[in-house]
Amino acid sequence: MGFESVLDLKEPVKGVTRPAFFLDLNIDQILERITKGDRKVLEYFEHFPLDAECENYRHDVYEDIKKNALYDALLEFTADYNEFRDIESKKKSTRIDLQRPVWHFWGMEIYTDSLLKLKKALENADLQSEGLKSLRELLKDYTGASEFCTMAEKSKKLKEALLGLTVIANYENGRIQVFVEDDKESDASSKITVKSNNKDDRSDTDIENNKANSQNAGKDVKEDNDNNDDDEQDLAEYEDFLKQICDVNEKEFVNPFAITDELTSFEQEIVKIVAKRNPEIFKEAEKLFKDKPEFEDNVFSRLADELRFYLSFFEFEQKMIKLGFDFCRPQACENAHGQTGTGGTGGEKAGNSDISAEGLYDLALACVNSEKGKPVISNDFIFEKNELFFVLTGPNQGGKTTFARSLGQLIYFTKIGLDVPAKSAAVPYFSDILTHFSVEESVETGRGKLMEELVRLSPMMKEYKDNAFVVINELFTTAANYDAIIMGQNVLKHFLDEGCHGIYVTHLRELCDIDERIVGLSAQLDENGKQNFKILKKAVDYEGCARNQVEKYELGYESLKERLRNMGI
Amino acid sequence: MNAFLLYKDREFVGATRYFDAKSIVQDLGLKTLYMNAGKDVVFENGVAKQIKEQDPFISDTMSKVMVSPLVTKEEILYRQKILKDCLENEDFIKNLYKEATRIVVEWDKLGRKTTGYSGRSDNAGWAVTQIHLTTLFAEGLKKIKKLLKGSAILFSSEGLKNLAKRLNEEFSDDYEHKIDKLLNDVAFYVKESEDKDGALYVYTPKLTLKGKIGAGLKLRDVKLKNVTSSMIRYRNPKSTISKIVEFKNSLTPDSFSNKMTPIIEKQIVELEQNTVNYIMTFTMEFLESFSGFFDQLLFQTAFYRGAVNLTHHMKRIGIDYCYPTICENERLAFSELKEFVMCMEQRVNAVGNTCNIQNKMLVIITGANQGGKSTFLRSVGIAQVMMQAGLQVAAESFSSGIFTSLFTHFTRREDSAMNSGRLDEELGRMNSIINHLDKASLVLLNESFATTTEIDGSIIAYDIIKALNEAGVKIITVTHLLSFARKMYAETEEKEKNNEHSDITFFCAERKENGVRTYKMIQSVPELTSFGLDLYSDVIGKPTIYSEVS
Repeated sequence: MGFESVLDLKEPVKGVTRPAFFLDLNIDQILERITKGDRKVLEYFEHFPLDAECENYRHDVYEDIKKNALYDALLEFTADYNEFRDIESKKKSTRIDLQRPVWHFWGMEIYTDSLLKLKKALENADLQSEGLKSLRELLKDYTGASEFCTMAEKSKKLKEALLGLTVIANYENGRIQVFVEDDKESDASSKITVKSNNKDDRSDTDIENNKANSQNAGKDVKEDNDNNDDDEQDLAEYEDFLKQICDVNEKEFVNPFAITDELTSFEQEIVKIVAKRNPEIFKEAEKLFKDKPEFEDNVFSRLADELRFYLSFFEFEQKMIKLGFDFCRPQACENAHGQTGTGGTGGEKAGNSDISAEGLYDLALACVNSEKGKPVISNDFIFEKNELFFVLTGPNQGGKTTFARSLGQLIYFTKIGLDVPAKSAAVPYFSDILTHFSVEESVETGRGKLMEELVRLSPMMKEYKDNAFVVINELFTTAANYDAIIMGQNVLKHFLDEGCHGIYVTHLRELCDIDERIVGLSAQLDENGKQNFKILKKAVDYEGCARNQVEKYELGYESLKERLRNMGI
Repeated sequence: MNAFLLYKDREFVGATRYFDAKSIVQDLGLKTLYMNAGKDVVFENGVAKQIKEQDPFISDTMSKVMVSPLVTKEEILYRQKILKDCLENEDFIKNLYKEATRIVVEWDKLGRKTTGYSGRSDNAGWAVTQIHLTTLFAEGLKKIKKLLKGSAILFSSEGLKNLAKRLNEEFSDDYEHKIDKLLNDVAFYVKESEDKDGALYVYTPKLTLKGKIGAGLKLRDVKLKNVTSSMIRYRNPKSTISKIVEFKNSLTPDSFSNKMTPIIEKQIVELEQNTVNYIMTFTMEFLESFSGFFDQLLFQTAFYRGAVNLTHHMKRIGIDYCYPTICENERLAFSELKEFVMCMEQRVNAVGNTCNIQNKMLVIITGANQGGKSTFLRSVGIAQVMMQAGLQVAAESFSSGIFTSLFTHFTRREDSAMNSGRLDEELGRMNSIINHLDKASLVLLNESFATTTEIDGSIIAYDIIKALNEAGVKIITVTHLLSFARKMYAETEEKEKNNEHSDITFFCAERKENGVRTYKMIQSVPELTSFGLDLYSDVIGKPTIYSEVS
């Protein structure tokens, strides 16, 4: 199979809708930082869910990028490729005839060069992934073709020739006179002395004279090179004089024509004279433009886009690692249906391990906290054999929702084919992610809010997807306890019976005991009454929590007395 | 660039002021002094002919400098010497002040407040302003340099000599020429035309750019090779000569006209503008380094202008004046010291006082009302402030210590009505003075604690003044509080009996045996009479003292 997509997509991603769980899991906040507002890249993250094969394909590609330090090379490729596209569109839109063939070879040079560089980078890499290995094959064949070689060679030669031209424009007596020199052939520039003395009116005759001289000069190239330093001094710039007045001014001369990428009329006139003086460059360019009007292969265009999926995540991951946050490639393990997945084909096989993670944290919170220099609490968890659901209870602000989110994020990043925010993790294949978070800001109460919750819940339960991961946060808070328990039990039972894994955050401890596939978890306060945000796998226990909070503020009977005594009251 | 005319090593920025300078100004009547410092006196054959209109800037300057005291002998001598040079070269200081004024005024006109010298450099107007400013600064500096050079031989003060030297270094002839060249190069941008030998000449630019060809044939790395302005003779574009010249120019190979199309014409104007903007950014540092200087120079020369004027006023009134000399703080000696403010207000040469107080830190002045006590106190205060501003004082001679802080605590007549609120306020003022005392403080008290009964006032005054005296604060106090004065005197007598030194001395308004007042203060035992008895005397007749009042 030839190379098609580095993301293992059958066809280019187009018009995706954001998965419903993004908001609940704060994945949109994470992606904002990863994609930095690039809609195109965001679409790749929104294209969800993927099949197990595709997940593995991407995990392997990403592993190759990390292990072989391919980031820089790939980034350079995408940057070059974008520049090429930019130039192509300029070529198409320009109305200046002289410019069109020049843009043509200019773009061709960047295109061929970018592919050659990419080929070289992949050749030197020890690749394991199907994706990059097939790309390497493709590049080898493509760049080896003679047609490609000709394009590369010709465009490069033309570009060098053009870049080697120096232009001097002398504006005097209402006319602009243009001199062109080829750095390789002539040393005319070195002979042109433009006197800075304002009394001197002969500067243009000087130029004339020197131009004449220059035609006789330049026989001995070697000598010219030796003289380069002197030449530079001869060609003192006005800035040198200005520096004598103020040597700390960092301002540079502003070329007013640089404001626009377009050729200004002034420049067009200059370029016309340049073309007149250097007809061979322009003739050659015109020929190339006619002989080879189209040369781009779409597979590379798609590659340049798709690579940004990995690159943007890599940049983000590196930044977070520097700030002390852990990431890892998730290991494969068995799901409730006995299927193995997902990322575990590379690295050590962990197929029999339980679904688990160490040092798992909420990446969205980590993003926010890292900006304030604050750490995040991480958690460990494990689903042992036959355990499907966590039912999480505990005091408010105990980190329940954060933990639930981090679980959801773990599954998301595993499924999208990238690293996960944890020290280590083992994750099986899940078909999809289903979430339901109560809308706390909702002004509606009582029946209205309950109704809204049920309406949202209904499709999750009805359009059931086999083997999904479910995250439910505080359902039925406005219903009567009795009702809420019964409804909650029903929801849980439904997902359990469908063999889903998931987490259910609730204030109803009664929900812990309804099924042996449920694990009751509790967010804990430590012995000092400080919330440690650790999720401990143990029976729910409120004892001590209230007292701890009272003592935290020294409001117990004895301590309050002591405080008042110390205050002299 | 620094002016350094007020201090040897710094400009007048954030100078420490007297604490509660407002009270000092009010109590000593310094406003009159500031006002007169702003008025020049024109003499003819040594006779005052005319008092000029007030220059409010000078007055304002004096009001800032005089309440920011010099605190070392060196600082005082530094100013005294410059003042001496100024008095001997009055034209010089006048011209220098005039030039500094001109520059700052012109600068304001160029929109200093709105554009500033470091405003945005991306609009056309900016460069024009920048050129005008650079011209203003450069021409101003040349003139100042010339002024300093012209009088340099006559200077004996370190301050003026160094100013001339610094200016020659920081605005060297070489630098001056470079600025001139730069201004000349960009002259085409601001100068339209000029008459020369009857013909009209216009400034035209000559620009040379060097660059490389880049992507899409766009010019890149464009560098400015040269810029000049040249004057060419103006000819009517429709004239034959004009057309011939144009035709000749059009033969230039590989060239095109700047008026080829309206767009090109516009782009070249833009090029000129960018070029000049770029060039003028190089004078920003020059402007910046001298902008503070002109403000300081104006301010500092204004001070010496004011100082010269004050001397003129003394001369006009016929007061003897001198450069005060510095001695230890226990000493206060002067002869024919006049209350200068009163002299100026009343345009009379008042009665002068002479004394030589040695080894005393507390001077208690008592005596009849209208006897010149307050005048005496004020004259000392004014002279002290003038001395510590580096000025001449209204006395034949004056010698005093240097006090890093000076406080006045005057109970003004309108305040003297008995009122507990007022006493509280007075004590509050005293408290804040005490909060701000330092090692070398001089406190002038005038009728302090008169807002309560004599007995209470005396106790308060005794406690405070005694404590301050023992802490080494120099105090000169005018008081009606007889109990206080008597108690102090008794203690002094006691000490002297025991051959112990007392640093307290007592002054009284002099009264001849026939009862006539001389308005002079003399060292004497505190009078046993008070303002009330005086009044009684005046209205009813001299009362009899039957026994000692405790």
